[in-house]
Amino acid sequence: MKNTIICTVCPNGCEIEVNYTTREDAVLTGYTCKRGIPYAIDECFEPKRTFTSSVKITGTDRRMLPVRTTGPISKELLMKAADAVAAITLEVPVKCGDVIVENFLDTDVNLIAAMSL
Amino acid sequence: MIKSDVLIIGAGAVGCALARELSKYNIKVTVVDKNDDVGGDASKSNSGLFSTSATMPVGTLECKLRTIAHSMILNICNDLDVPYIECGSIAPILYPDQLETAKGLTERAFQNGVYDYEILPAKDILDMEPTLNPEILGGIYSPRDRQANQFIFVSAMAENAAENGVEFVLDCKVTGMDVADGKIHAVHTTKGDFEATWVINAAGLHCDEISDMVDECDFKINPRKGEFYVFSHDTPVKVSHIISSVPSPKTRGVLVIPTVDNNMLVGPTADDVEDKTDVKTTAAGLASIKSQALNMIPGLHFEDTITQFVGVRPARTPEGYDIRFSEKVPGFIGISGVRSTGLTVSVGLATYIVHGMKEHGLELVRKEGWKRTRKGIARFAEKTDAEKDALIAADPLYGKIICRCEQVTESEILQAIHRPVGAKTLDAVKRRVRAGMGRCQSGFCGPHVIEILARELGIPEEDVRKRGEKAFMLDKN
Amino acid sequence: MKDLNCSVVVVGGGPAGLAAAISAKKNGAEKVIVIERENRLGGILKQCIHAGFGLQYFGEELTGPEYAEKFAVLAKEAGIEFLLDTTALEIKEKTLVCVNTEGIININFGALVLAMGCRERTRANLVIPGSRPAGIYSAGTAQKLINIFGHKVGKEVVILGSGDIGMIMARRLSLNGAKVKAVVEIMPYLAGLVRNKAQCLDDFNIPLLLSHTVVDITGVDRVESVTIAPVDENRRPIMEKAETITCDTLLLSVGLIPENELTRSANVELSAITKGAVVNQYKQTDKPYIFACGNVLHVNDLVDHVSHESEDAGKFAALYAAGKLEANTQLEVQPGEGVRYVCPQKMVCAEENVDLYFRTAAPGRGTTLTISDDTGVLVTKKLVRTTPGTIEKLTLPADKAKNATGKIVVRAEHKEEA
Repeated sequence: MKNTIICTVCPNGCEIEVNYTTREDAVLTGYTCKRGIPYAIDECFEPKRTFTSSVKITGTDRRMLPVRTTGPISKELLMKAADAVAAITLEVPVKCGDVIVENFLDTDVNLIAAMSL
Repeated sequence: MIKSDVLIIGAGAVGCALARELSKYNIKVTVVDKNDDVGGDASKSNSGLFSTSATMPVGTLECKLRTIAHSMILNICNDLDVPYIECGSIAPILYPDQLETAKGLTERAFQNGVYDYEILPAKDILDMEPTLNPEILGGIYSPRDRQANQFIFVSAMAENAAENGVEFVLDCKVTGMDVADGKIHAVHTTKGDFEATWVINAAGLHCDEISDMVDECDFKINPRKGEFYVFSHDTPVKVSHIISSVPSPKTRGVLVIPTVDNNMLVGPTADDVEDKTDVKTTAAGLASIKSQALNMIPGLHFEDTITQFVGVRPARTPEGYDIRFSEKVPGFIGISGVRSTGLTVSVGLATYIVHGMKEHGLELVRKEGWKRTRKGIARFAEKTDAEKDALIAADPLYGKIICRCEQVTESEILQAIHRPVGAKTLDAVKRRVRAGMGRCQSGFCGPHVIEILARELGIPEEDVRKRGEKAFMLDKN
Repeated sequence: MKDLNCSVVVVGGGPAGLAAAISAKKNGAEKVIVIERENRLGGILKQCIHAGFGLQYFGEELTGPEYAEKFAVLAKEAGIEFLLDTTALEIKEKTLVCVNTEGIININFGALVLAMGCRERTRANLVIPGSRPAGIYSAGTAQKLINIFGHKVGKEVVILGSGDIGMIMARRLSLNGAKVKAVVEIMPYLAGLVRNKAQCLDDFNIPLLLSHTVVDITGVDRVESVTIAPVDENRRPIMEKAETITCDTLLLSVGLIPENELTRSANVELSAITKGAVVNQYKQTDKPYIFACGNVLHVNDLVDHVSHESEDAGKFAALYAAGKLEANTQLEVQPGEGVRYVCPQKMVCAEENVDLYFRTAAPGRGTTLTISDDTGVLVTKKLVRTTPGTIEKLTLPADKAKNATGKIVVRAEHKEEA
């Protein structure tokens, strides 16, 4: 199999070519830093994304608190994640980094606050 | 059922001028309009010109009323605190065939009593207006043509009329009338029925539909579309006079207009369309304005336009003003054919019609204590630092800037909402105090104005409208 | 009316302003004041809730609000003073006139740093014909309505322009349940970063129509549809191939314009290309006491670059205020073939490295970037590919900067067009 992946690890957006039959024997070309290697391999087998959104918050003038996952989650889960955060309402105070949902959607990553309010 | 002595249909310039004129007397006056705001359709989307009657067809009612209105209008603007500029106008002569036309126009101006309308040599014109095409052969100078803020003009008349007891019912569309035995028994609207001894059709673009309800529509309204560009204040090449075209086979009458708010207007086109709601700008129309304007003023920076808009004028077939006291349905007054001159003429027309109503038997007793004047909303951006400090000391919200492009404060927006006949939509706020009128076109202040409108009107933010009945800013669910 | 005195005043509490203020303080400015018109620090980053910030500056991937908060904490620790809910109105010589609900404040400064950011280009700038209904938003306004106010803006959306904010909003709207029907781009290439196409458009199967534009908008009250058409090589629409897409919302992501109204009040020289001030490598304008950084200087692609540039502005503003930045002769820095603009536009010849930031004019592969002066090529760098959406940086080393003569020109040459 041969896949061309646009690396999104950093804004450089390298085009990485991956030749593979299994995860282990993949051969990669086109990356300009090592961080692209696991990303490109994941893209071929199980694409993952950091999920960011905002949730309702009361007690201050800003009505939405930005949130994110502490690591990437399966791309397939993005819509489900969006539905899950839509149901959350928090109250101030919140510190940037506070865990809002532990083991978010059973992914082993947490949903955390991305702003102090 | 709302009962009044006089019901005015249409809150454009004519309707509001009539309302103010009638508010001098001890009668009950009600104004209805289908729009969310006064200023109607044509009265808000135009170039805000108060021009003399120099080039009008001689001897027509329109010409006569315009001469009268032009002599009254500055006093009214001063009474109502309506900003205007006495910029005068110049019509550059670009082609030899325009010379003859120009001579004919000065002759006509003389007949119309406009004695200060004259042809000047090219050099003198260029000294006055150095931005003009240096190849001009001369130009016509008319010193008493003026430009005013048309939004404030109309809303100030409405506000003053309301202060003097006139009731305005907006978002209220007339849907039909009960007419029998030469009498209007009821005017049906989307907000219930109205009854009045006198019903005045000042519906402008829609006056044919209203006249048709009493079976008096022997004319046709042809929507005529005019497209305009609006320039940013900071564009480097600006005119200091109204620049108009001398009619010629090569020009269609594009104007370049300095405005009281320092945003040049360039336009309009004049295209007859079928649909009265056709407010689309077109690539062809905008391109045609651009090339004609550049022909007169080659240095214009069209990349500095902050918006383009369309005004639909109510052209009439057959042409001309028609003011009719119905014989079939006594008490019904039809006004039609009021076109682009209507802004100026409105104040003369109002007095003329009220005089006619007296002749037709309306007994009018002058009110005591009629309020002649109205103070405008103090504009933060125009004040000195010391004046700004004083405004903030009296109202701290004068220190909270909401629209950064035009430096409009929250206090001004609150006044726009809470004054009589106040703003209920984003566009109405914009017209009164200019929030969202600047270079970013409400990108920054829009979300905040939505929030303020919802809070002040006691409605959910999802119900806040840009204008009209259904132009919701946000997704409703 | 109140008077305040300070060594350095910074206009804008976004990423540029905060980095400049911290750096000014570090470099000896005694009293530093930041003017911020909103009630929180962070500027536009407060609404940029997506990730992708900080990889270069902090070495970790952060969201916009997190990046802003890190700087806000540093600024508070550094002892910088803030005037929140305060708008700068005018620069009168060495006094900045501001306003808040307490009245007019005159801030007398030694040096001033402009860090007001930018605004979005509007429909009028593009002259898109059609009606003017509700439902037409710039991408950033929609971002604010959704991420800060918690609103929904529409159900069926077309986005004009492939700028980064537009693509990021395409993803945000999709996650919020809206249908993004197309992203339409007049140029034959992407305006924003490639990574945003991958993770914002491709992930959600949103079609990207290059070499297309919007030629008509229909709807009296709310947007009902937009008409799009392909464009020819001169960017003129081919009307015979126009098609109509029903939608209730049109988002515009068609570029940013540095917000320089305040700068104009000080008669600072502006560049016709960047629409920002003309500066030297110290980010110093032709009014030597005024400095500029961040998106008010030139529109950046990455906030990390903004932070670095702004630190320079803050540092040299502090030095100027202390009387330690001397006036020197300056060379012109100009874009040559293949380059749209270079910032700074002027260079003082001193023995120090000079970073030149620039954008290429068109995308390409096998790109050779060079800096030359009148004597010839001084610096060369080769890249696999470049696009105008990405800011490139070349550094002129101290020894070459000191001895440079004539005009400094930056060029980009592609082996092949992309």
